[in-house]
Amino acid sequence: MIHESTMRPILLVEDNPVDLDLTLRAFKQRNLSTPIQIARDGQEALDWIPRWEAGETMPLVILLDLKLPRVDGLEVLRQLREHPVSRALPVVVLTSSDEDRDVKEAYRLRANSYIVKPVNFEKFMDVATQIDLYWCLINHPPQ
Amino acid sequence: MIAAKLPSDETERLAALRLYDVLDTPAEEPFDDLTELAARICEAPIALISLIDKDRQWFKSKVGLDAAETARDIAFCAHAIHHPDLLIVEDAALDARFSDNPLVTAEPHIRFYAGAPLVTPEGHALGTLCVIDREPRSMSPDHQRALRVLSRHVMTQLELRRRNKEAAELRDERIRLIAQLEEEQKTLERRIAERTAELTRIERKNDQQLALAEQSRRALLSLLEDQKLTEAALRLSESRYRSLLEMAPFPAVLSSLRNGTLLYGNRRAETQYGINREQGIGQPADRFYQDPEQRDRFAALLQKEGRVDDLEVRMLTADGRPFWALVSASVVDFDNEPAIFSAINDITERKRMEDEVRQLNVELEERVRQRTAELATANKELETFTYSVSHDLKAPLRGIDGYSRLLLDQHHDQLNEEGRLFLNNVRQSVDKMSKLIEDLLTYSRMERRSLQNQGVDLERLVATILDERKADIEAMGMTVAVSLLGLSVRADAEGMAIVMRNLVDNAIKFTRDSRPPTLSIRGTAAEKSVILEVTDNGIGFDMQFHDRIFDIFQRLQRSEDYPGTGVGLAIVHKAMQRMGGRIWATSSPGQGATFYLELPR
Repeated sequence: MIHESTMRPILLVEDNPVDLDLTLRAFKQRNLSTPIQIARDGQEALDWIPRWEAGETMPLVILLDLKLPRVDGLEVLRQLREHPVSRALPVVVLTSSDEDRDVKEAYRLRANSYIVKPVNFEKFMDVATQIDLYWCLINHPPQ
Repeated sequence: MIAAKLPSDETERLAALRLYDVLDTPAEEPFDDLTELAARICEAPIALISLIDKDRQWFKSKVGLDAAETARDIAFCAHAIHHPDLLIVEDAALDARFSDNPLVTAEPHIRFYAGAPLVTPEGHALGTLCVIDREPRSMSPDHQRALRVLSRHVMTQLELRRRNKEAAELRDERIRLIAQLEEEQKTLERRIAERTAELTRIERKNDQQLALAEQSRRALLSLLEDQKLTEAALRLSESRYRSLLEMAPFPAVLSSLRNGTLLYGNRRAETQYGINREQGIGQPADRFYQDPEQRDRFAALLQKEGRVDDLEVRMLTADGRPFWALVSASVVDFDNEPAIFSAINDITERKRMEDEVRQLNVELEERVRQRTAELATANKELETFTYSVSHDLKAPLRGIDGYSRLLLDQHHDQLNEEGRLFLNNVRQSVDKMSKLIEDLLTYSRMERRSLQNQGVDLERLVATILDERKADIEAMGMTVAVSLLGLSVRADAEGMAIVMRNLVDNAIKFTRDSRPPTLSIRGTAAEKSVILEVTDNGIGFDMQFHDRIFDIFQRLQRSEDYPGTGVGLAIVHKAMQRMGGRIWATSSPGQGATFYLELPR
């Protein structure tokens, strides 16, 4: 089932330029057409909240790195959950860390999914494909 | 014949000669060389180094003469030592001093004599270097000069010889002193060892004596009680128990129950605490307590219990020296009056040792506390470090792999075959590096994560792991036999899974060339534990490397032959250690290997 949501973007919160570039390229390699918005640190991600409140299009999903400058990923998640506008917004943690405490803390703050970034680029592209497929096509997000 | 007078410095001269310690010593080359030279230069058949002793002249070196010495009164040289320069006798037969000298009239028939004195730096002439001829002759100035020079050389040699000798003596003395010092040190060490042993013995003896004292006290006490039985018995035993008390091997006192006056102290009480007729006896007993109130407490306890056992209290000797006492007391009859019979042992030394031990314990605890804090800090740092490793080390790898892959993909045509090979090698290296980081993180986590202690169903666990590896196992045609029916262990489920996964992977890796590869996992239950055996028919290892295989980064195989990070078995070892189990292995090269795991049931 395909929704009219194809125009709604993915918000990618990523500070590492290489990871950022690779993520964009992975989407491109697999011909994934969902538009991607970018926040380069935690604060930039949080800056979206007033804009959504003002009526700008909400993303379908936020791909959130944990280790971020200024405001770290878990703090971003906590604040997203505090604001009514983003309380139910799907957030997928996409990070290098597979530390137990990060996983636990992310789910405690109501992350919707937790994915460890693979080192291998094929696997990374698989991950990108599946994220796009699931969160942008199959999943039915709140309006 | 005229014999030479004694020189005016004769005593000192003889003393100097003794100092050179040369008389009656064997011939020595340097001296013989000089005599030889003198004879040759002066063209004389005889040359001598003659030393004038008290009654003789003795030849240290001689050419053309056999005699070792002659009497001093016929010696030409005895004359020569009076001459500051040379004594030259051109024809002895014409010289009143020598014409009838037996050395002239008979062998060796001296006619010509020239002697140069050998003068010490202090000016004592010890003897001469002389040349002798059987024909009368004169001596050229050249020869005279030569003889003087040579005589000085003889003196130099004598001097050198003396110094060498002194140096040798000094050295011997040093060696002797060192040996003596070493001997003394050994003695000292032995004495220290003996003293230490003695102290240990004394300490033990002290304890024994305390026990003995207690025994004697009880024996006495029962005697004292017995004596109450009958008047007759009292009379019979009074002198006996008094002498027993007097000779008892512990200090004991009797004090009046009525007014607390000290009535009696035995021999030990006198020697140890100075209690006798002159001081102590007749005084109030509380004077012997550092804190007199302690005496009241003691008396109250005695009233209540009828006896006091092993009370530790600070007391004073008769002359006021404080000590720690171990007091046992009971009430007895003494001269038809109730009295307190107290055995008082000095335990000051024991107390001191106890204090020392206590102090040491305090220090130890403090150090343990510090160390624990340090460890906690270190652990915290390690955790932060590991966290950074998992984040920061993997990110660049992802970049390297990603762009290598993109190059291969999007610039395929610009790359020749070698370029593509390079990029694939880059990606393989990234893969290895990534695995290594994963393994290190697993190891590090295994070190610090808190473990559960739960029942783990081994059969189910092994089935799951074999299922994970199904593709590999089938691809290599490995025969797997599992015998674990109903076995379970007390362990951490995740830790146990890591252990089994690593051991299965290990077997898969090292049976690569076995035909066919086999893996057997069987378990046996003992009383309190389960022993698991994981056996493969792979390349095995030499048992001399047994302990090394469980060390981190230890590899017995080249990584190109059997790829791996060298961390796997270290993780297994760490996991087993943390779960309170044991792991060991038996193997020999080419004969496969069996890993044994022991875990509590």
